[in-house]
Amino acid sequence: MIEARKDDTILDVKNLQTVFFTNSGLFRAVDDVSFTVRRGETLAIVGESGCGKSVTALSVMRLVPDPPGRVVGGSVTLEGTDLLSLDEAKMRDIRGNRISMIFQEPMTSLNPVMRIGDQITEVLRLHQEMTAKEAWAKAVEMLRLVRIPEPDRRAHEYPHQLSGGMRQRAMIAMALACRPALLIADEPTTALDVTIQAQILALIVDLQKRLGTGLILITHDLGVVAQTAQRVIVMYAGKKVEEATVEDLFENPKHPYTRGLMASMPAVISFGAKTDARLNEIPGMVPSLTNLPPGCAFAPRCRLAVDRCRAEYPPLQEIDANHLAACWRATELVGAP
Amino acid sequence: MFAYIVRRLALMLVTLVGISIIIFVLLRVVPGNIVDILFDAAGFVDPTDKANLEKELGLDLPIYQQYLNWIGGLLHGDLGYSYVSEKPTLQEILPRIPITAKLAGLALLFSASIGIPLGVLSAVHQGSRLDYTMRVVSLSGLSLPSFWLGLLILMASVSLFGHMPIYNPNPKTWTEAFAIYAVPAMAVGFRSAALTMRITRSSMLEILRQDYIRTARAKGASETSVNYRHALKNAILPVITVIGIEAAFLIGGLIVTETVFNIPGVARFLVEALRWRDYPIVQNLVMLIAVVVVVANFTVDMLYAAIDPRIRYGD
Repeated sequence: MIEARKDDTILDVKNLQTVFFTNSGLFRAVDDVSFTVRRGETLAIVGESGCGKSVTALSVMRLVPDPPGRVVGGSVTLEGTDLLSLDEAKMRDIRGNRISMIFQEPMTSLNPVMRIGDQITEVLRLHQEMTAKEAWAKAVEMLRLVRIPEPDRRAHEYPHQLSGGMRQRAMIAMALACRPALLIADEPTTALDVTIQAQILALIVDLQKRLGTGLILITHDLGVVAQTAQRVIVMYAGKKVEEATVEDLFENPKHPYTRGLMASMPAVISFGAKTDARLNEIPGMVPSLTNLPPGCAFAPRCRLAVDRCRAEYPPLQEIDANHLAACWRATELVGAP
Repeated sequence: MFAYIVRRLALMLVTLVGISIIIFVLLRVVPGNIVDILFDAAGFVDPTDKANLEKELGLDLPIYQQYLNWIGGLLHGDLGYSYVSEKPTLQEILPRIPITAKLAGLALLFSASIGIPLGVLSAVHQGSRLDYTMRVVSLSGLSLPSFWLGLLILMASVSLFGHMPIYNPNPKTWTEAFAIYAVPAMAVGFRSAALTMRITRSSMLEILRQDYIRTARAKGASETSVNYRHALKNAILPVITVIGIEAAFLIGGLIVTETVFNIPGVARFLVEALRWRDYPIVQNLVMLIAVVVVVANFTVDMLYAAIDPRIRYGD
């Protein structure tokens, strides 16, 4: 146990494979993905819709809907415990307690017929020995912690009486109530107004620092990544295509897909992109996971693709220290896009 | 909320007045009154005797006058006398109400306590053998008329046990009470149970796909808690509507069931009274049923607000 935690790693995902069985065939939503999260660290998972970010998160939580999905390979180790081998009852003790998750849609992620306070109380009473009264007091305290004004009154209210931002705060309060080691935030700000987005993000990062929680932040917004994460993994068509520290990634992206994502991002002033330039889009569409090309899945959209890219899938290699990329031409790419 | 309730109650009153007019007119539109029926049976008819009897019963008055007499009496708590037994209507109806109320209550209890859990099970195990079996059984429940089911039960009971207990106001043993009340209640409630099950199932399937169900699982809630505490509470609204409507429909089922099982309840009594054109009994009984239906509707709406905090009856 102590051995495993020597380097403060709380989550260690190795070669995770999640497949979906559908009428149009089997597809690998998560294919051979590995990553670690350390205590207090923020790992961002970036990619377009359908690239497997959310399924990766759900696989860690063991909440992939089965059928049609199933985790078929790899390991997920949380604080020394292999989650994939736990029985369902033991896994329930972990969910909401050691790992929590915040979802994209605060409008629909809270139960409409339960009071906010009851929803937070529920998670506390599931995992901690508390009387109803103690749990309620703690729930109100959590609402105060996420800076909901008048937490006493709000705890008695129902989700429809709260704004989107308030609901997401309540979700955060619920997720952090048991002081989990790991928090997974799946696009927590996507559904919110821009002004609220920044507040919610700041709140998550602040609480994460205070509580020492590991954070996996799933997003497609590189601006969010730049503000919050220490390390980033980029996913494309179910595979991890690049991993680096946030500085390395923005200064020296090694995968053409990452470079494409950055070029298509409107003016990131802090990283000195040209503000008068036309936005560059990545041509084409994400390929269907049931019908992937034999080589690199990005090759059909890649301007740099050569014959080898279309024939063989490039292995993930360490291009620089702690900077991995899966591209045959990664070493040729230098500097910001 | 208070204003809403007051408005609803006023509306209920208007509805009941409307219903009373419809009942009254419809009854008089049906050819023949009790006097015709009595004299038809006698063969020889003396028109003056007939006119005297009609006058005695107030049937010679203009129809609006008859209506006003009835409503006036109703408001004073005077429901008139049965033409057939010549006893006060209230005395005829009152003792029969608990019998039918017991049957109806048991039937509703049966349909809710069977239909809801089975509907949840069916939805949770969608596509399983259990689900298919229950869907077939519920389909048969919807298509089997309750009088046919009642007859089948009677025949089965006789061929299995050699007899079927007949109605007795004071059952001595539990098995007798079960046979007298629960069996007819199940016969009439089977349809409602099947309907309740199907509505619960489809409503649950819809709710189980919602984001907040995933949230509940992410909190570490058990499947039982997810299904009942989180999902069912959201899925129950359409089920309540259906049970409310079924409560009204139940009367129709009870008429035949009381006849088949020979139970002296209100429903069978209504049919007998109708045969004799016993206006005071029929009018007042149908009125009573109308009140029950209107109150059931109101209760459903109030339950809605109690269960779903998003529903607020305002101005």
